[in-house]
Amino acid sequence: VDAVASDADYLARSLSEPTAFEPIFDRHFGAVHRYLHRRAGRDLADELTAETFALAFSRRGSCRASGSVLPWLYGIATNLLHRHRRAERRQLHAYSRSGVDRWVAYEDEADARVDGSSLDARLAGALAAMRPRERDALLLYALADLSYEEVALALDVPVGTVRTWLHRARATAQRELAAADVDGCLLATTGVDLNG
Amino acid sequence: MDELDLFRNFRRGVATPSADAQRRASARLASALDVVVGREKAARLRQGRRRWPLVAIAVAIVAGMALLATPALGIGDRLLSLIQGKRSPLDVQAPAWSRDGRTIVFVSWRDGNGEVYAMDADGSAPRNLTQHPAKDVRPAWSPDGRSIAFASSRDRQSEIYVMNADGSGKRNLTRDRANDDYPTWSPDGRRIAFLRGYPKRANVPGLGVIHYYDYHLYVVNADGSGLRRLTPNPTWRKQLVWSPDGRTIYFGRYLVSADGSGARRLPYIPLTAVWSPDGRRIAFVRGLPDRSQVGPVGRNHEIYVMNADGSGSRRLTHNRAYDGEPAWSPDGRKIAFQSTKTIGGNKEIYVMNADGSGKRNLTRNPAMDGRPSWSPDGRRIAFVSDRDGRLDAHVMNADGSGQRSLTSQER
Repeated sequence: VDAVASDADYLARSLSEPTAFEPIFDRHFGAVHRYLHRRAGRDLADELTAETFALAFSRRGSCRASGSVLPWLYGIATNLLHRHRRAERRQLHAYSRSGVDRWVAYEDEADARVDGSSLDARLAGALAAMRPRERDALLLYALADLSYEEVALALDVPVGTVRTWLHRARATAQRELAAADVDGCLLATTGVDLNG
Repeated sequence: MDELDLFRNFRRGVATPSADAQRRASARLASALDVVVGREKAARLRQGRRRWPLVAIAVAIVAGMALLATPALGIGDRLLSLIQGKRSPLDVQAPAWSRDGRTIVFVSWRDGNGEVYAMDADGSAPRNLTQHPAKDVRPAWSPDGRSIAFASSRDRQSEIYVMNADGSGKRNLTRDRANDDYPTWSPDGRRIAFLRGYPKRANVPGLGVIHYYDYHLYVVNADGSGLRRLTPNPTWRKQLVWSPDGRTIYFGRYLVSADGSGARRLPYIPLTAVWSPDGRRIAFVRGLPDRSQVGPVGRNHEIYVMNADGSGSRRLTHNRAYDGEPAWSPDGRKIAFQSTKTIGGNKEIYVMNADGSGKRNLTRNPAMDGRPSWSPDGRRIAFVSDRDGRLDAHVMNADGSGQRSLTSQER
């Protein structure tokens, strides 16, 4: 019986009965943590995920989601990341220059070396070059797999704004990745054809 | 290929979150919940818990309502349909069985303002005992089963009332302008303890401004005479339990002498407290700071026992799980409890000796199993489980064997 209740049901119920918030945590902890992990590294992800849910609980009365609350949770997580914007940008820069990602602990060491790490380094460079809100919109779209509408909900802006940000993010990515191609070496080592 | 989609693979190799991260985050949420829920939850008094097993069904009904499940409980169905329309499950206390087992009183919100109802134990003949547009809640049977105390807002602020079991002869015991709530009979039926609340507000970091009541403990004779305050200091906790001998009242963080001769302040705030059947010991739950937790206020719940005078407290459980809902066996030798590693996680029922030795998981089940309640002969334990897909009352032998649903055969 309980399995069919939607996030919004739980959320509405949690207003009068706070413990009804628990299933929301159980459902979405993994997804939020993975998103934060990819943006901020494991240590910070542990902390920010905990904070995301504590904050979501205290703000549960203001959530407008009608189905899944995941976009809303991603929005809170993304706002929490803002305190660490500079650190994220520094880290992306360092990653793009060195090809070594200090923030992500890979499950398999071999993955880190073989699996597209240099493409990741170039993507890191492109992300570092974006404006913060463009980067947020892009990563909510790409990492969190949200639709444009859901990104708009998460960031609390009109969907047209999301389109604009993603358009700019795309332009920045094209420019930065093309610049990396000119270097040549990265493309040669990864064998990834960016035009394909 | 769209450049944006390239980013889908960015740092694709991240590890799945560690169990430890999840546990810490869940503890953090639990502490946020505690602040909000704790004050409400403490109101769930032990009233009627020993009247087994029917009370276990009642507990299952309330637990089921809490999840808006529709437990098919026979009489529970009826009860549930009567209760529907409630505003908050927290305002609905467990239905209480009369001592002779023939009548159940409960609170219904079907007309939107809270009424005390009674019905026969087979679910028939529901009747509205209060019949008033104001809120009437928290019915409590007198020990002799002849009277029912309740809290009513018919005079604007909440007052303690007593009526005959058929709803006649209502009288106000607390004519004043304060908010009086949570009436609880002394074991001898001569007095009623209750809480008088004063509205407060506080700014809790991370939660914003919250509104709550500070409560003082009062006692009044059942005829309305002899009203007096028993506590020197108020607390926001609402727990109120008479000792079996009627001499002590556990309230918030105090053990208060019922004759008004004094109160002993406990060095910590128990989350729940349960007297042993002989009245000499108290099992209680305490939230310990969890240092491994990220944030400031992690809590790890453990079960303790202390002497009835508050001395000699001893920790019985040592683990990182949330242990709670302790229940003494009738001979006082064992304590059953529920335990879960994460908030909202899989609860299991354990039993241990009253000195904390010999812990054993009785349920070992992927479903939620909680709220143990011993049969009067101590040979069986009733509990609540969702193993059949809904919250429902179950029973097992005290060694964990022979687990079965209590209600499915009764239909």
